[in-house]
Amino acid sequence: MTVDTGSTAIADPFSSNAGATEVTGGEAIARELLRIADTRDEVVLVSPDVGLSPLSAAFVDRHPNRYFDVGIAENNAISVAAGLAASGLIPYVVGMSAFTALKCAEQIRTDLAYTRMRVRLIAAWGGMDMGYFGTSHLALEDLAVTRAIPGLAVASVADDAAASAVLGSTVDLDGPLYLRIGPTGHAPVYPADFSVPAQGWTEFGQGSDITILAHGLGTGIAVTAAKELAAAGIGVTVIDVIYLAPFDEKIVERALSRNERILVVEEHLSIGGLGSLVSEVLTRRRLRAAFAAISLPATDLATALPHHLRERYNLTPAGVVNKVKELIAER
Amino acid sequence: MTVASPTGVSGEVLDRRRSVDAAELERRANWIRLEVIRLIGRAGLGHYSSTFSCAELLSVLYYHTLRLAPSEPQWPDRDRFVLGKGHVAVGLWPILADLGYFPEGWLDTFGSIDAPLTDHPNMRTAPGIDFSSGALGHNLSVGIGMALAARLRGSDYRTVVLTGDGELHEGQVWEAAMAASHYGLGSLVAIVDANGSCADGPTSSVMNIEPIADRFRAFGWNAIEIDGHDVGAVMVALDGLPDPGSRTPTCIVARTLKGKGVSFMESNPRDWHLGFLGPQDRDQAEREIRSKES
Repeated sequence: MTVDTGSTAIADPFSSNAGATEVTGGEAIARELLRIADTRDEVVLVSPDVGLSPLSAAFVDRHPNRYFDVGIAENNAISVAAGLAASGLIPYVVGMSAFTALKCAEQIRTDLAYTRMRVRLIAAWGGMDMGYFGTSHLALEDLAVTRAIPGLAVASVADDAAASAVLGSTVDLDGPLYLRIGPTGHAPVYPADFSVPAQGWTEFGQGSDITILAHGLGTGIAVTAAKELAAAGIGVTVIDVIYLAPFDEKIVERALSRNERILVVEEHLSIGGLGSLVSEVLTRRRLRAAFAAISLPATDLATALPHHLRERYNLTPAGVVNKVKELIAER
Repeated sequence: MTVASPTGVSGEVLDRRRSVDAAELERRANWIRLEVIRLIGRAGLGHYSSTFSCAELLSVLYYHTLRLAPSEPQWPDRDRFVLGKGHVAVGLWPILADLGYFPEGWLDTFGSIDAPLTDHPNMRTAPGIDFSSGALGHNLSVGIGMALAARLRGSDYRTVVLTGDGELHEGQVWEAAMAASHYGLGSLVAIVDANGSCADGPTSSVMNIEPIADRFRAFGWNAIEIDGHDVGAVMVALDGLPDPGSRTPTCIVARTLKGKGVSFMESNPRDWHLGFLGPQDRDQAEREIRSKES
């Protein structure tokens, strides 16, 4: 007989879904990771104390001898993975984006990228997912750092189906991968059987008033906003940039082929993410564009549950709708 | 000696505990020192003194202890050697050339742009290098990964990591030390080239790391201390390594002298961490090293 104490245990201690009605999420990713492990016995998992979260618990349960928890020692996790990879195994490292990308930037660069080790970094609980915990747990610079590591593939996915697709298609990638996954349990953008096109990006809509370039959380927001904007007679194309590195510059050409208005929407600092990447391309290729971005400002950021933070910083469909209308009104 | 190996290496396998006497290994160590002087002489810049402190260690490891297959640098059952103190790669190059990992002619281009043999080891360009190094503190972790892989794959290869003593300042070394005993990695060996000197001065004054052996023991390792220049002692220590399937990692603290073999380097370790020997100094250095040969 159990007594209802009124407490709520949360399966994923780092879940950003606290307070939401749906507390499961990431199942597709967990399933894909398990499928990969089941079919390839070189696949192993390393984690700095977060391997038993729902993302990888099933892997650990079924293949305990292929799971190596290093405790809260992220630097060790990366270099241990390097040693495993150098010995013919294919390691996946599940970790928090902030600590994977920032604390371990050097290990990633020197032990994984320079050496071309086949290690797959699943960077979870990133962006503002852990904003409730405070600014220490934000990961808003990870793309600025990882983009600057030549040889490291960098992907940011809009939903679980896209995450699974990237995981499934990169098992044998000849080099390391940084995969930024979004908050689990978010509204899906892709069908369950989605596979990543060879070019590394997808396009939603054919609108020619503005192109939104987005990744991760930004894509879902933009796709939702585009529907509302269409109803208001504003034509929007959304390009989901799945791979930031290598980056297909045709994305920019495609955007500009319709209209010079480009809006980048990303849950990343205004410095160094997709916005910067697009700006680099525009400038280097001397392309004319009316560029704008919704991203996090380079100032002190607030602390709150993620959905409150996203409202504050306009990372919502309403935020995108307002911004687009503002940009259209400029000309 | 050619032996039939479990995975069918077509070329020669250099066994563990190869039959060779201490005097020969001592000669090898001095040969390594002379080769280091020769290579750096061509390149124009190098890490003499850190390499001289581990010449005996390298000699015993490569000419007696490690199970190797130079004709197949990727042979899965080879013993791994990871040069944590990557700045002494110049000491490895003559050994690897001599054993046949690559042509002797490669030594002539050491240090020049685009050369495969560099000041720190690059696994992508130099056969025989099990992992790139240079960033101090990473390689014991890398060794953990290699030792875990050995267990998973059912291989009895050993993983030997050579670190500096200053390198023990790096926190990541202790993350790895923790993991090694947690995972019971009896196939893992850390050799600390304790030459007592780091860039800012004597290691114990800059940031004390003593007692080294006790610290490793506290982390769950077996630790022994030896005179790192006594070839006989090095052989005994390496011959006595536990079975790779055992559950306790081993740390060998090798007490050494930075610049060993050259008097003016021994007395000025800081000055000779990175440098270049001018003609007179070079003559003297070579004479002193050669005078050790009986």
